[in-house]
Amino acid sequence: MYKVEARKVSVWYGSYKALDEVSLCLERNQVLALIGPSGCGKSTFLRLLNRMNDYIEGFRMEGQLLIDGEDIYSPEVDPVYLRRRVGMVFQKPTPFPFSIYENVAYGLRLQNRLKESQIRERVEQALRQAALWDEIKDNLKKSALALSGGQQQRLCIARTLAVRPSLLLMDEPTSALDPISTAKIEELIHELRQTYTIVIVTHNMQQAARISDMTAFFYMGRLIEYGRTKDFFTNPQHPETLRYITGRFG
Amino acid sequence: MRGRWGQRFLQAAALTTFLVLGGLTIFLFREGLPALSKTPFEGIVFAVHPDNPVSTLTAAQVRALVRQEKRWQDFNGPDTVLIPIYLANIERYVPPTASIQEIRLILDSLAEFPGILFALPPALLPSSVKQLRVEWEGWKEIFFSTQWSPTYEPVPAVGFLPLLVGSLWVSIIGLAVVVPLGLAMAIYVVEFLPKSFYYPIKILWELLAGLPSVVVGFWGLVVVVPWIQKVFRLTAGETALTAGILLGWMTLPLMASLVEEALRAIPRLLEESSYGLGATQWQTIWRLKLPYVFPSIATATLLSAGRILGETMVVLMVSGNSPLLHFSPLQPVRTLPATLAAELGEAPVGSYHYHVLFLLGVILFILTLGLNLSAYLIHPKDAQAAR
Repeated sequence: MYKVEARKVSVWYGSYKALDEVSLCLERNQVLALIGPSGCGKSTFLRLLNRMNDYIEGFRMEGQLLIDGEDIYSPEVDPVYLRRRVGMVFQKPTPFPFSIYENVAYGLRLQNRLKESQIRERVEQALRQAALWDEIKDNLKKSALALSGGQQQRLCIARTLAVRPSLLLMDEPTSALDPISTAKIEELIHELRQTYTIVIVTHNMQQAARISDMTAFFYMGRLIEYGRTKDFFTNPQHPETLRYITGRFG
Repeated sequence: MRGRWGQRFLQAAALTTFLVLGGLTIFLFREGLPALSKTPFEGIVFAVHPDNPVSTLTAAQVRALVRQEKRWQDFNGPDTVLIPIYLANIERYVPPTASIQEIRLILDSLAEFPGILFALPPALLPSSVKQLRVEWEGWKEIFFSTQWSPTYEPVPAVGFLPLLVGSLWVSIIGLAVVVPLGLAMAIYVVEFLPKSFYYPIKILWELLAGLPSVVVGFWGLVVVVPWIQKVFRLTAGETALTAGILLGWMTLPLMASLVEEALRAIPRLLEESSYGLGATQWQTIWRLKLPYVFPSIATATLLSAGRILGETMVVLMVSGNSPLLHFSPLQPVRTLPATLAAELGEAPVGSYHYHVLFLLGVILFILTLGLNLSAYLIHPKDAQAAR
């Protein structure tokens, strides 16, 4: 069974067709990079996976999208529960205006079934996983807004990990960060692939090459090329892909 | 060339506004502060029978005497009835057609009574009487007296506490109405109202904001007052509660607009982060959005309090206008601004009453300024979170 499987997925926003019959499969514990020029549909595809597009007016979808073999757009699926299994990190750090501790505990408190001692444990665990614990363990009560951009983004990753998802979505997670913070996040992604399946949108082709196992190239709503990252960058099959990865457009 | 004139015009306009506001404030203080140093007895002399051993009384004691709450004996005076004679009751003893000689004659004979108390201009005072010193402690009278009857003769009562308590009651009730309703309205509009309904609702709500307060007051008088009277089985429905409810409704658009604006300013990504962690809409509202806009809620509450505190017309119409110290919201009250509106027209310019009313204006000014300033100071500064 694939972790993620898309079967002829098409998406419309009103009359605008944002995705056109996209099909792909992703194995467990793999990192999938979605690349392509702005407006190509890669973010739309990412946001399909935790049903974040549901709130957008005029959103309509056809085809099937399966996570762990389950059709996530079937009427029985509650998006709230889906999102506990599919975590998301955004293109900018989005710390809540609370303390560091409360930020990480936020997702845990929503479920209302953990004791405070368990929450404390999971917070520490998540912060360790996100390689943030050593930097902030003495300042858990401090406002999350006082952290640096890179720390904030790792905090957001920790916040997502605390809920224990199995699939992690990242929407250009380093686009607002400096090179050093970016390197730390990439290192983190490298470690997280042991436990999680990760889908990451990136504008940076070197990044896609560095961190991913699989790469998908989107262009004008269509999935142009999809394959193992190694082959993808050394031997692209499609002329559009070659033009894009060699920087001739986009 | 034209640009420079345009700039000069704007400068002049700004300067004028500033000068008018400054002048207004200075005028308010210049007319109000003398109430603390002046006495209400200008041109009036107190006098008693020469055999009366009492030589000094406080204003409160004289007031108690005239109101027959105390007797001369209570102040080691003669064991007789008090006969007070002052400008407001002189007609009881002197026919209006009397000449000045006749008035003098009548007053001279009245001065024979051992229990007499005169409070008259020196020219009318009989020569046989002994002057009585009446001590007036402006601070104490204004800030600690619990009575407000500024035209009472011969000694007015100018304690503003009953008016302050009236204002507080109305404000507290008003806030108790406007804060929960305003929050509910803002949340509903932002979270649940379908877009096509937004503009009609918003227009209605702006209309409510622009409704003349006299119209609100009149509606309150005809609809809310009888309703309160019936529900609480009161003899009169004009109470602090009535005024508070109406003012809360009136301030609703302000409160709701401010909170709505703050809710809409929450970054989209922050909201999605909450949903992304598996929060429901309700959880996102309670655990993220309300804490996030808390500074704005506090600001809106303080601004609403300022509006409620300063509102005049509605309270004048539905609060019952009773300047007595009450501790129940089901009693008629009178607020500070309602007092100004009701009494300033009849207070002679420069009189003690006039100055005291302006002092109330100063107090009101300081209160509302304080509310607005603190609202300004706690203005959301975390708004750039997650830019």
